[in-house]
Amino acid sequence: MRFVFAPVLLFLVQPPAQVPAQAADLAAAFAREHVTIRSNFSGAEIIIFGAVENAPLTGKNGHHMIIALSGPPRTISIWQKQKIGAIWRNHQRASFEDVPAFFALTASAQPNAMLPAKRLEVLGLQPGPRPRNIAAENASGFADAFLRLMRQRGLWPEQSAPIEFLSPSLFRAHFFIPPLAVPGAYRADLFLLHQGQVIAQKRLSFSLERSGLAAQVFSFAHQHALFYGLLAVALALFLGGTVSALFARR
Amino acid sequence: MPIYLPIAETSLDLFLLLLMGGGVGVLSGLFGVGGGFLMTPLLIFSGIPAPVAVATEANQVAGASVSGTLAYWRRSAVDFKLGSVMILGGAAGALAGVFIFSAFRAAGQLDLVIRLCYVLFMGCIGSLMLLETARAFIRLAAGLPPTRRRPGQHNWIHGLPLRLRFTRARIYISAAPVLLLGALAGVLSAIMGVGGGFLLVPAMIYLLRVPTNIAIGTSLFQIIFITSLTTVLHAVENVAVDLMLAVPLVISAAAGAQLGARAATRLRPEMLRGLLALLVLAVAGQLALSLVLQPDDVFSLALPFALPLDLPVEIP
Repeated sequence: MRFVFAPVLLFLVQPPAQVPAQAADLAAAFAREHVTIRSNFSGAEIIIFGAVENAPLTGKNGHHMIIALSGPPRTISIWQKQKIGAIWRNHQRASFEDVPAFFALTASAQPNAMLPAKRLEVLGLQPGPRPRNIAAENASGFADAFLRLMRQRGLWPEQSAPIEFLSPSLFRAHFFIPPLAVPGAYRADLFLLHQGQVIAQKRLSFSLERSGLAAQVFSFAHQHALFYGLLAVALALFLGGTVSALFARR
Repeated sequence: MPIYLPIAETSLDLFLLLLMGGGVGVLSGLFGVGGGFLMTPLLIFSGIPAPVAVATEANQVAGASVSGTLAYWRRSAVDFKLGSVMILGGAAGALAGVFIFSAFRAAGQLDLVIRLCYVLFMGCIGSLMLLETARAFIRLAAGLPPTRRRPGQHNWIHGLPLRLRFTRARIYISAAPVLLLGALAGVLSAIMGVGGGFLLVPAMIYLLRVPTNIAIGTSLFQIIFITSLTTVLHAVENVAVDLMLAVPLVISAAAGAQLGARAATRLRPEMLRGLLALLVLAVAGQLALSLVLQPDDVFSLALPFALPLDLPVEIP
């Protein structure tokens, strides 16, 4: 518990004149800059490597780090069922506009131990999506449902593995992107913190792309829908007929 | 081994997929049905978004009907004229069905409509089949032949105007009920991802008085066209046909169906019909429960994110 309050207290004790805290350098990179969704895609491990230079030591009074990984923005809809007559059916829909289709946070310690919640929110490290087109009294129910449903699918995981410091300066962070992840540009925001202050930050990005057969099927289905449909029919008729004939002979 | 389904935007184990296809294939061969009514709920229960499950299953049923049609054709048990008139009605039905499908999807009620259709149609057909089976067994016990003589007299349908002669089916009836039946099958194909044989065959036998083997052959023939059309329409209108899902299903179901058909020769037909009736009722019951019982979570995500949902529904 002591740990939780320490940085906040330090921040309060320090005179504002000292705010331009000690600068540091941050170097980091993704282990892979392109992650591809192939036909055997079942999720992907995302690894960030990096080094901190000229920074105060880690530990209780040293530096800490937070990394947020966020996916491409999407409008995500959530339905709420209600019992109407004897049947449960979708009744109300809330849309969350421009929310990252993936969001995960990792840190070298509890993020809210390093920075107060408000600062986390300002830095985009604690997104609280608000639904549009929904009355205020229902909004919080939908917001909770959003976090819960996205978490269940691994799209907004509650907790990622903490950042590992391999040496006082060398670090490594892990994320897992589930199979349901939306392709597009993903970015990581790294913040190096010291005594409640951001002393260095860096933005990295990589793209999650469909590739190989999965990509071709997807783009064909969307761009040439009619020919795609005809191909699907031709394939089904041909394969259905051929396989039946093969198995009937024996 | 996981396989990524680009349209469903999720991945599923390939062996599980083949197992499901093969299993449903065996049952469809055993009972002489398309299997769409089993596969679509199975896909939905395994996490495939309902629109993708229905559209892809229509595609699979098209492939599953080829060998049956050829077999009945060889035995001269397909009435092409009757089939063509049905296809005419079916095309209109499929078009309407896909339109209804899109409208309900935009309104977030597609899942409900699919489940309701299944409960309604499967419940009715399953109960009727079970009743028929019970009757057959009672007749057997009484020492009578298991199937009743097909009534020879005409009913009101045969009095309708616009009559056409269908030589092979040996009927001379109005085109209207044939078109209507085709249309109904088309709508169901688009909304439920089935061929509709479960409805067409009994309707042809009992309402139109078509001989049983010609009813089956003709129904199979028209199902190829209707499910093919449904597939293309769903691909264009909803981008919901997943080739990576359809191909393994078509292959495994076709193989399974041949094995099932061989096993079927060793079972009594009344027994088979009774088992099918129980299976149909089990699917309907499962879906009915899912509508009536309180869901684990009353909130749900509208999936997949990439499916076009152009018609935003404003909730006041």
